[in-house]
Amino acid sequence: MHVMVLVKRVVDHNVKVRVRSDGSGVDTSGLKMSINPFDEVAVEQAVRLRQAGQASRVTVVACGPAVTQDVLRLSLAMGADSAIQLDTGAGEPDGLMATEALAALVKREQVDLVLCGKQAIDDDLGDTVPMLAAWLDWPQAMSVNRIELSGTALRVDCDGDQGLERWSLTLPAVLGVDLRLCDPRAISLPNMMKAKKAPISTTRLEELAQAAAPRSSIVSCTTPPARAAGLRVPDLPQLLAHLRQVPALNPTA
Amino acid sequence: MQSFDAIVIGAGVIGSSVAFHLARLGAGKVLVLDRLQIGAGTSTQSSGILRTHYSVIENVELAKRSWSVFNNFAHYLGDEEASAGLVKCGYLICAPEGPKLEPLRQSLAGQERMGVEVRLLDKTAAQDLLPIATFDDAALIGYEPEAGFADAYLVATGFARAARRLGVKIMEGVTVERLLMDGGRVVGVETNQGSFHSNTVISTQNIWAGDIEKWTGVPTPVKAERHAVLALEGPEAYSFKMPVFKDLGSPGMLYCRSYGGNQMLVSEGIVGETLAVPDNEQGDISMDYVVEVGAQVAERFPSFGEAGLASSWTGVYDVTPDWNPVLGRLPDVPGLVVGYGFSGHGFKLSPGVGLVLAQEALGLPTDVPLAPYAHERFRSGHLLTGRYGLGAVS
Repeated sequence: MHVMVLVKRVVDHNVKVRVRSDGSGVDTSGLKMSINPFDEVAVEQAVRLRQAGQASRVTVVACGPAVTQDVLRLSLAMGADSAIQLDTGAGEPDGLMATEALAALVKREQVDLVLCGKQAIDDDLGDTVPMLAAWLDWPQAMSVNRIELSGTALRVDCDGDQGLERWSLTLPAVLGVDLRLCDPRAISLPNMMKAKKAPISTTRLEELAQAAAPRSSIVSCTTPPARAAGLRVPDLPQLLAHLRQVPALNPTA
Repeated sequence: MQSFDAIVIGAGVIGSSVAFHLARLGAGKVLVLDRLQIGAGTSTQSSGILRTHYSVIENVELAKRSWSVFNNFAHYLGDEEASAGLVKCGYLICAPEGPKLEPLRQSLAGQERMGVEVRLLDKTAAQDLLPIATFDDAALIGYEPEAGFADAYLVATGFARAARRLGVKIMEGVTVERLLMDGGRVVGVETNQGSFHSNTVISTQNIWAGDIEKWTGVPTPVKAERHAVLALEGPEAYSFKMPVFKDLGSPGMLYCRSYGGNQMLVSEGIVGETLAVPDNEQGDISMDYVVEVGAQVAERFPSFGEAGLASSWTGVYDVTPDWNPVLGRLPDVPGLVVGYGFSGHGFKLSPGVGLVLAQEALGLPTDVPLAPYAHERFRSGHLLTGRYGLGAVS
């Protein structure tokens, strides 16, 4: 079984992000970047499946310019077998375009199971899994926190609206994983050293996507408005009086 | 407009220390303004190493006085709950044959002349202290028992709390926009929350000291330099009893210390990445860099060749051309006292620097002469460059 893991290079969770002065997006120049923590969990799960003999091969894929290779090397150091960079050059593909290319790559590489984080911590969109599953017409599951695999039968536990949901899927499938699935391993210096020398193959995204240009674009990016100062009230009746005026607590017609 | 006897800009380890010492010296009404929060700038990014080992003898004196404060923190502050988080594990420094050997020999001798206890160790004795390291290449090993590491955030907040108890007013989230001048001298500050009057203003702004140049036109010879720090999880303990270690033989002139359990905090003591604009946000640390530092660590600590990366972060130094601070008055701007350009040793020196800057601001004689640290040195050329060359040993 060939497992493909999709990883994304994102601004580190410890960094307070700032919007570019021209409002075109978030300024990431020089900032600490990391592998999306949800994707890191997906890599760990894939490597465990291979170590348990349930997967034969783990390929990691990242979409972006050359610097994106950093997260691919990290994934290789964690134990992935091979890495592919979907080179976007200077372009910024939207989710639809990226997943179309990824779907073509999944077919080309004869993948049986796709794992990735249920969302990325930069945009929190969570669009990759559903879009990719739709392009491939494969079953999907989101917020997966447990995986049980036997042959081509897959049983997963997911967060659902009403609580824990247990799904049964047949491979091939696409899974969006939650942080609770497993704990990523610490990477050792010797493994980093090996990953540094490992080859990474590159495919241009345009070669795989039919769409010539993204069909959506960012109109503007702004810093959220600062939170207004709180209010001190002297006693309970005045607190209740204030609460009665809060729009969210008033029934609408 | 509110009036004060002294205004301090910046509430990091240095500014908080200045404020405490001003109050203790009876300065009257003291105001501290910080753009964010106490210690939230570069102070919290400090690796916290405490030593008196310097090749620049003036620094030994400041570090010695500072060490005695760290060693007796609660008593010095008059606050029995205060703690610097001090781990007194000693400081071990070694050099192989080569260009760093003579500077080390001279610096150790200089420390001894200043009354600092320094021992010269053979390889076996060094190994006893730090059994996880090898000293095969060492030509000279110095050990300073009265040294270790502490917590810069605890120190900044400790000084700030003690200062507040003595009546100092500390305002967080206030950005100073310019100095108020009258007849060529400083009479206060204008901030995003109004103006405050004082004939004495002390700037302790670290990497943001470039503001002084913007406000007064006097050049600020300081740049923001980013340094990466790694926490490596090894197969054996680097315990709190094992000394801080300075490896003059490694290409990066590494410094290491215990980070609790099996973890080692390690960083390079050489020139870092210069930032175009002062910024203490977390910078990117590439895997190549981790591998490069890891290889140096493995040379000295063989078992750590198998270590994992537990965490990593960046800190920013306010570096001057000679890697030593500017302390004292700016002659061209009466009423202004500055302390910036600590070049990586601000935390070690913070108690002593706070005292002498407070003394200078109040027109008192300073315990340590400030002349060698004068801004003037960058014009006269009497730089304080250390024997080790550029880098944070100084």
